[in-house]
Amino acid sequence: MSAQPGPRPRVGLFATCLVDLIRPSVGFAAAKLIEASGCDVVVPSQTCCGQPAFNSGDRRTAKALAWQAIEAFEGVDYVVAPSGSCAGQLKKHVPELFEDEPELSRPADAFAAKVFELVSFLVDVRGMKAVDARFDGAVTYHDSCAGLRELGIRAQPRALLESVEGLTLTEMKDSDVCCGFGGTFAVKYGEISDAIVAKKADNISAAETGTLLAGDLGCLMNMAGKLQRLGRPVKARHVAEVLAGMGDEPAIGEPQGR
Amino acid sequence: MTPREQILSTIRRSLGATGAEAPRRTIVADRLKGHGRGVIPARAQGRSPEGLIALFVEMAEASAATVATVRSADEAPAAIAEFLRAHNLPAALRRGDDARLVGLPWERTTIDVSTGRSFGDDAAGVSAAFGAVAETGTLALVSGPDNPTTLNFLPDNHIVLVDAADIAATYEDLWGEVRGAYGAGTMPRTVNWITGPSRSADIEQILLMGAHGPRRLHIVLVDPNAVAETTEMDATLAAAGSTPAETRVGSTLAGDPKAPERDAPTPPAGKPDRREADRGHEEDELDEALDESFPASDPPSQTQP
Amino acid sequence: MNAHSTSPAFKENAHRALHDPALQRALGNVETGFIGRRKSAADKLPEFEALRDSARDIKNHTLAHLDLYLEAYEAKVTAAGGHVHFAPTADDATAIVADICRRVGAKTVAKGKSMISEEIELNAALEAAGVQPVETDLGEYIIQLRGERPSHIVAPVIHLNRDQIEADFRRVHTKLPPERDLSAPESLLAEARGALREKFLAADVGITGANFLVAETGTSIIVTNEGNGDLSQTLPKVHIVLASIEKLVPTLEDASQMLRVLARSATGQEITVYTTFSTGPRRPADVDGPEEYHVVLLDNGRSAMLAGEFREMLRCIRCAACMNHCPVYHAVGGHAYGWVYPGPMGAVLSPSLIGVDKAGHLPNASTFCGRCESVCPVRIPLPKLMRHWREREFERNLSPAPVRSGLAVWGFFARRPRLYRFATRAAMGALSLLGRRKGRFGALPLAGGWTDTRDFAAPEGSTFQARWSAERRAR
Repeated sequence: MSAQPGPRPRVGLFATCLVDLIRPSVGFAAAKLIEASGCDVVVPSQTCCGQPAFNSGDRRTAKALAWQAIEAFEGVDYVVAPSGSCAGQLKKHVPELFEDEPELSRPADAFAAKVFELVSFLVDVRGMKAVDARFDGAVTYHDSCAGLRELGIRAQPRALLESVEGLTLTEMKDSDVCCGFGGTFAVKYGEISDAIVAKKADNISAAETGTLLAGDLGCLMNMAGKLQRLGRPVKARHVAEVLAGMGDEPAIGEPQGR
Repeated sequence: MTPREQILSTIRRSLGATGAEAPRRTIVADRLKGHGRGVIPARAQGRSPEGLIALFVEMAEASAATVATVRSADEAPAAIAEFLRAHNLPAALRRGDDARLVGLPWERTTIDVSTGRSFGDDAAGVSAAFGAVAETGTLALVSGPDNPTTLNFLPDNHIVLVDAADIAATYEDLWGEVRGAYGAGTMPRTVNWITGPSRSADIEQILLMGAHGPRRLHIVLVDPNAVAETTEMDATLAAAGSTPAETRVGSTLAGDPKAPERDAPTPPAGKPDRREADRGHEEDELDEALDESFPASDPPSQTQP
Repeated sequence: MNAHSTSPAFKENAHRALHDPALQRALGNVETGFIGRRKSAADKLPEFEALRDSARDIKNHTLAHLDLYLEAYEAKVTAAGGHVHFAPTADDATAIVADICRRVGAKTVAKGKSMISEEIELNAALEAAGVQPVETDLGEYIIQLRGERPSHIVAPVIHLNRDQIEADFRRVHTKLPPERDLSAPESLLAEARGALREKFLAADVGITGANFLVAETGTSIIVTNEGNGDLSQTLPKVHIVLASIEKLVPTLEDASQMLRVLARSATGQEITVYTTFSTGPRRPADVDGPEEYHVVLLDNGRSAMLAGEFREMLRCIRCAACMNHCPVYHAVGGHAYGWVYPGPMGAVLSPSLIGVDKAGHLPNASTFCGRCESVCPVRIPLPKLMRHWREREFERNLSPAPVRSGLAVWGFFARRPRLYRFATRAAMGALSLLGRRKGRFGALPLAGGWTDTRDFAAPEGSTFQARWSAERRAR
C-alpha cells in the first residue's frame, strides 16, 4: 500500500444514498480502502447527490441538493464516492448547474475538482498499486456507464483486482454495455430495463464466474435482482468490498448471516 | 414575405444576425475561397509515386474491385478482353468517346466495341477515370460529352481505365485537380467517386454484391513503370513456391468467386444448381443475376505482365 | 402538416416490440454487425478522433453562418442552371415537388433513399397528386411494399428477417414463377434488382436526398452502396434533390472531412461504394443526365432550432451510430419510437420537429449510458440534449405524475438531512426486518416496474450514516 509523506489528506466520504440506505458495508469498505491509501476519512451529514432530480429535468431540486453537498463537504481535501454515477454527477454535472451564476460557479467548480470515484481515487490520485486482500474464486466485472464514459474508469479496478490473492478475473462479453438500470428508467420503463438486464444476465452467466463485481450499487442491485429472479447462482458485490477484504459477507440481496 | 426570406430571416433571428455584418461576410467569403484542409490521414501522405500506386491498389482490392496493371494504354484492350473471357462474358463493350479510349487498338481483340450512353442492355462498359484517390482506393469519374454517367451504373461489369499518374494521395488533392480542370467553384454535372462494386447489406446485414449498379468493378491501371515491379513480385512469388502469376490470373478470373462476408461460397449440397432451378424466368436480367448468386469480390487478380 | 406519430404510445409500442419474436431475432443483427465494423474502421484510421473534432467544428462553423452559406449555395446552383426552392414547412416541400412532377407530366418517380422524404411524407403527397413514387433502395423498396416506415435511418429493414421479405416478394411479384427458390438472400436481391431496373428506365422524375450540400460549388452529395441513387438521378429527365437546410458545408474540402467520418461511423466502411457530387442539370453536350435540376431546401423547424440549446443537434449527419450502439434501440427497435427518427438522435430531434407534447417519451426512454455520445462522429452531447428536453417537460408539467410525485417526496427528505437521517434509519430498519429471511423482495409497492421482473435487495439494517457515527463514537 502507498504511504505517502506529508500530512494525511482529509477525505469526505460521500457514501451515496443507495449505500447509505441499502448496503452500508460498501461505505465501510470504501472507508477502509481510503484509509489504507493514507488518508483520514470523515463522513459529513449527507443525503443525495441530486442525480435523480437532475436527470428527471428538475434542475431546482438538483441545484438545492448539489449546494447542500458543496456546503457539507467544505473543508475536506477530497470528496470520494463509491459510485461512478454519483461521482460523475458531482464532478461533471454540478458545475453545469451553476455555470450561469458567477458567484456560485466558483465554489461549484472548486468542489467538483476535488470529487473522485473511489477506485480511480485510489489508483490515479493515491497511486495505489495493490490491495491487501484475499478472495477465493473467479469474478467478472461490469463497467458501469457513468464511471466508464464520464470518468474513464476501466483499467483502475482491474489493476487492483489483479492484486487480490486468490482472485481470477474473467471478462464477460460486452462488459461495457449498459445493464439497463438508468436510475428512474428502471422503474419508468421497467419492461425495457428488464430486457436490457436480461441480456446482461446472460453475458454474466456465460462468463461462468461465481461472482459479479461492479463499482455502482444501482447497477449491482439491478443485475443482482435479475440474476436472483432467474435463479442464477452468481453473487453480486461492490468491487470495494472485495478490494477491502470484505468479500465474505452476504452478497447483495442475500440474507444476512447469523 | 417569400419562403426564401422567411427561412433566411428566421435563421438570422435565431443567430442574432442581420446578414449584413461585414465581418461575418468576410469570414464566409474567405472560407469559400480558402479551400482549407482539415485533418489529412497520414496513410496517404509522404508517399513516393510507387507508394501511392501500391496504396491505391491495396485499398481498391480491399473494396472488392479487381485490378490489372498494364505498361501502356495500348495493352488495355487485351487486358479487358482477358477479363471478359475469364468471366465468360460476351466480347462486347460499351464506351464513351473519351480520347483515351477512342485511340486504343481495340482491333487487336475480338471485342465488339460500341459507343454512347448505356440504356441498360450492356453486359460491360468501359470508362476512363478523371483520376483516383489512393487513400481509399477510390476512382473519380466525371460526366461530360465523352463520358456518359450511365456507363458507370447500368452495365453489370464496369471496367475503368486509370492512369497511374492521375492517382492523387487524398480527396483534397483530387479537388485540386478538379479545380485545375474546371476552374475553382465550378463542377461538371457529376463527379462519381467509385470504391468497389455495388452492394447492399439491407437484408439481415448480410453483404451482397451487385445491388443496382455493377457487380464487378475491374480497374485497368496504366503504369509505365510497372514492369520491374511485376518481375520482382513474380520472382518473389516463385521463390516462395507460389503459383506463377499468370496462372493465378486465369484461375481467379474464371473460377469460383467468393463472397467476402458469406460462409458458403458454393450452393449448398443437395440443392439443384441454381442455373437449372431458375430456368424459365421471363427476364434475362434475373437469370443472369441468379447465375451469379455469389458474385462478390474475386480474389485480387495479379498484375498482368 | 400534422405528423403521423405514435410516439405518445411509446410504452405500448415497446411492449409489443419486446414480445415480437421475429423482431427480436432481427434486432440481433444490429448488435452483431454495426458495432464491430465501426470500431475496426475507426481503429484503422489513427486520425479518426481528430476527424470527429474537425467534423464537429465544420458543422458548428456552418451553422453559425448558415444564412450566408445558403445564399452562396443558392447562387452557385442557379449559376449551374439549377433551381433552388425554399420550403419553410413539410407541406410547402411536398407541394413544390408535386408541382414539378405535374408540370413535366410525370407518371412515376424513382426515389433514392431520403429521410427527409419520410419526414415530410412525400410518398403520400405524390400519390395524392396522381404520381407513383417508387423507392429504389433495396431496404426502402421492401418498406414500401409493406406500407411501413423505415425502422432505422441507414438500414431501413433491420427489423425484418429474410423469410418475411420473401413473403412480401411472393405477394407482390406475381408475374414470376411461384416455384422459384428465394431462400437465399442473394436471390431476393436479384429479384428486386430485376424489378427495379424497369422502374428506373421508365421513371420521369428522380428524387434523391442529400448527405451534404456544398456552398462553394452548389453541389449536392449523396453516398450509397447500391447505386440506386445514381440511377435515380441519372436516368430520368428531372432530378429533384430534397435536403434540409443544415446539410450545408462550406467547401469540397470540408465535405471530404465529413465523408471521412460518415461511412466509418455508419457501416464501418472506409467510404461508401458511391459518393456522388451533382451540380446542376446535364451540360449542353452531355449524352446523359437530367435536363432539369431542382433543390428543395426544407426548414420545417430547423431555423428555429438554431436559437437554443438544440442547435447542436443540427450537426447530425444521420450515420445512425447512436442507435446502433443504444441498448434501448437494441431492445425495442426503431418503430417503437413512433416517428421517422428513432434512437438517441430521434429522441432529441423528434421533439423539436413534432413537439415535445407528442414525442415526450423519447428523451425519457434512455438510461443515459452515454454510448451514443461516445460514438457520435460530430460529438453531439445526446444525453445532455435529452436531459434538456426532460427539463422542458418538467417545467411544463409534462413529466409523468408518479415520477413527479415520487421525486417530490424524495426531494423533500433529501433537502432536510436531519429529517432524512431520522426517517431513513427507521424505514431501512423496518424494511430490513421485512426482508430479513430472504435478503430481498419479490414485490414492492410502487416499484412494480422493477419487481415484476427483478428482485430488490433488502437493506442490511441501519443506515451507513447511523452505523458510522455509532462506531466512530464507540472508538
